[in-house]
Amino acid sequence: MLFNSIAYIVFLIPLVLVYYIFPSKWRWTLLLVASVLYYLSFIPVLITVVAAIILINYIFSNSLRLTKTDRSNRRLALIVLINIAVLAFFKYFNQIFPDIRIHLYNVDLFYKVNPVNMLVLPLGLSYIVFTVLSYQIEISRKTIEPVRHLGHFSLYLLFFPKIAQGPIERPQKFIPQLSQNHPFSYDYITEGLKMILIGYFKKLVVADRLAIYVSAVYNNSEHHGGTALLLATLFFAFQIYADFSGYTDIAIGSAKLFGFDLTNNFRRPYLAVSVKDFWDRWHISFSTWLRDYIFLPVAYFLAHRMTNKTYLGIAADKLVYVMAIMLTFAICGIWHGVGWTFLCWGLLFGVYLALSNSTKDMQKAIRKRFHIKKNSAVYIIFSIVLTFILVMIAWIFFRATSVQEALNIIGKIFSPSWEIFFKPSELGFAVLSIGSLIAMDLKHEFFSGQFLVLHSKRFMVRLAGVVLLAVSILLLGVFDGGQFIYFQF
Amino acid sequence: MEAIRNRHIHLIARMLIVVMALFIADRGIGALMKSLYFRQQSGDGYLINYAIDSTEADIIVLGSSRAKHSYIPEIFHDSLQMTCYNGGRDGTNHILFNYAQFKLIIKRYKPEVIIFDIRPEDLAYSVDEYDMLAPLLPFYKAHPEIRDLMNQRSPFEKMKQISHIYPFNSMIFQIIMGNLEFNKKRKPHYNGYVPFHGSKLSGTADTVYVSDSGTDEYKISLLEEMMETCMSSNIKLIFVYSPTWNYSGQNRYDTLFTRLIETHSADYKNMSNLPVYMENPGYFYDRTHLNEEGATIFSTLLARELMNP
Repeated sequence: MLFNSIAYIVFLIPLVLVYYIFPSKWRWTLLLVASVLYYLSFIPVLITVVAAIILINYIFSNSLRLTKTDRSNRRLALIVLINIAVLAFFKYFNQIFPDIRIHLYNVDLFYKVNPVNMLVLPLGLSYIVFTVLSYQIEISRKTIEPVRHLGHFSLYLLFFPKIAQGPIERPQKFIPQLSQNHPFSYDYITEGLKMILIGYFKKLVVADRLAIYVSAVYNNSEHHGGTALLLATLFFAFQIYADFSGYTDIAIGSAKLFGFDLTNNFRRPYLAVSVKDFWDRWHISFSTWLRDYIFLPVAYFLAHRMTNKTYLGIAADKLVYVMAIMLTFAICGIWHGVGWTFLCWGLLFGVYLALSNSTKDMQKAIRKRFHIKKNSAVYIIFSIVLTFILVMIAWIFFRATSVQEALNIIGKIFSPSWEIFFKPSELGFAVLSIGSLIAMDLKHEFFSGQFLVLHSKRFMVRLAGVVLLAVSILLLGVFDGGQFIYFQF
Repeated sequence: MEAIRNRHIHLIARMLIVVMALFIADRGIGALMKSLYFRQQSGDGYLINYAIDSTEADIIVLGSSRAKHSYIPEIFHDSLQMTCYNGGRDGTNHILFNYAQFKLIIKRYKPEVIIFDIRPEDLAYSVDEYDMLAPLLPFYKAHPEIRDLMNQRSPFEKMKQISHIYPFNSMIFQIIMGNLEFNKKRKPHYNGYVPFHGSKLSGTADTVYVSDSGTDEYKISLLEEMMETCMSSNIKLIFVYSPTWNYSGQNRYDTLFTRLIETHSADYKNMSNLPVYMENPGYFYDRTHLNEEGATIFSTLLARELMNP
């Protein structure tokens, strides 16, 4: 039951109605049952894996509370290892044992039963593991108390709007919401519905539309010239953004219908002025997770071990940064997928950030030499374009099936041929969809509070906005499109 | 309490207004799209529409883009003294789409001959082929004969059809272009046949092995229905495997298709690897499509076969 299926709407609407009729004290049970049903609509048997993770972490977290500090660190290390081992097992099983076939069945509550003859990653396992790790770490840091209520704890991990692709919710933000009343709120309902509508627009009109061209070119990259590959890479940059942020909008909107607030994962990432800024705006719940639980602890650890001022002529603080950032982005790459392409993708971002950090003084000197103000419009536009190009190069590794293919694509892009593969109508749709996405982001970034449509004070303007979005989806949306890209992680 | 009740009433009232506005927009824009769709004068939409609603040709060619670019109606007309219309279309699957075209054509009149361009591997199951029925969505409401087929696309197809815009989903540019006069010159056709010019091929043909992706029993049932209908309606149905720049490796679909043809005593002409083609890549536009020169020779050969069965 993907978010972009009618089955999901059929599931969601009655659930919201029942939710507000239900006694508020027991609403969590309804949400938990709905979340389990949602999970069962994919590969039912894999819920046992998630159930095991929930139980183990619940028992551990509650026993951790009673443990002395020196033993609690060892216990934390053990639970972290267990969770990562489960994730690694499912992520790498098919790579390590390619000949073992496991017969699973994919279930759609409303349609056919399809066999899946391999061990697949249980739905949302990466997100569940990262969520539960943050929970365990925060307990060990004593910033939160373990959840005593098994139902609440299960719902924290299984809450269906966020289970498949996050956001990776921090316990401090989400768990207190489980004890709240969530009375019927006009603002939450309307805001939730608007976000769902915007999410569908991004997914069906932008992402799936661009995917047609991207797949056609990338799936046969050896037959396409540099210009077609450049265009496909540009489209892919917007496809993955619209796909993932569209999913997040639907997730946040769905949660709002039940009175819950989820973390926004995106803040106009392609308007970032540096790669660091990009990661402050892209997949925010994940990037902040990496920052708080990998980068900072590693940097702290290294800084305390490396006592000299310089190593091989390099300042210790810069070296610490490089080592910590490379490790963080290597993990970021591995988390995204199995294969060297994902590792290269992560490491490339690590290199970007390391270079950016170690050349700060040089950048400052150049700006001073040429009298360029950091906040001048020209410099900001230049920075946005440069950042976008760097990110686009990284996306080639993300989309390609092998490092060799990615390198070939980059080689072709830098020696363009003018043969472009396109159907005029598909290109027309692509320009229209990217244009609308850019317009939306520019408006939010630079004209916040102005040109309001869905949040206008006038009802008729809001109504026109809703109708326009709905008609665009019906007229331009791709209804035969596939699943969300981040689903596989 | 009163305030909360007012908020609820307020929300319900607003929701009703939104639903009403959506309903009106859907009906209005849907009606406009429908009118523009059926007024097209060029492009694929027009060709599909013409095949389904207007042609009364003696010979109908059904198939995919391989049919569209390979069968020249003029040659069949000159050789057999029968009118011919090429109903092959780009981007359509072979059996599902053409079954629907077949149903809608014979609902209106009975052609004398139907040439169905097919490859045995078309019997394989592919979910994409169900998606590729989309160009027939504008015919869903007016033609109940194809609803069962169209409903195979998804369990929610009936529900989607509540919208009057949905049948024209993704067609806006095609409809606009189809209504523009200059598009006729840009995309000329000759009774449905659209020629390809030039060749992208060189060298020798490869042997291609079709992977086994299961058999679509539903497609087989549709083919069987077509064969039975043609037999009972006295329509001559001929399956043709038109030339392709590949040698087809042995696969189970060949056996399956041959058995199907034999069971129903249907006519099948396998012209996929005729030596005249395999020795001359210049007759092909690409590996699967003939160019104008190749299509002329192929249509002449086929017309000759039809004259002297």
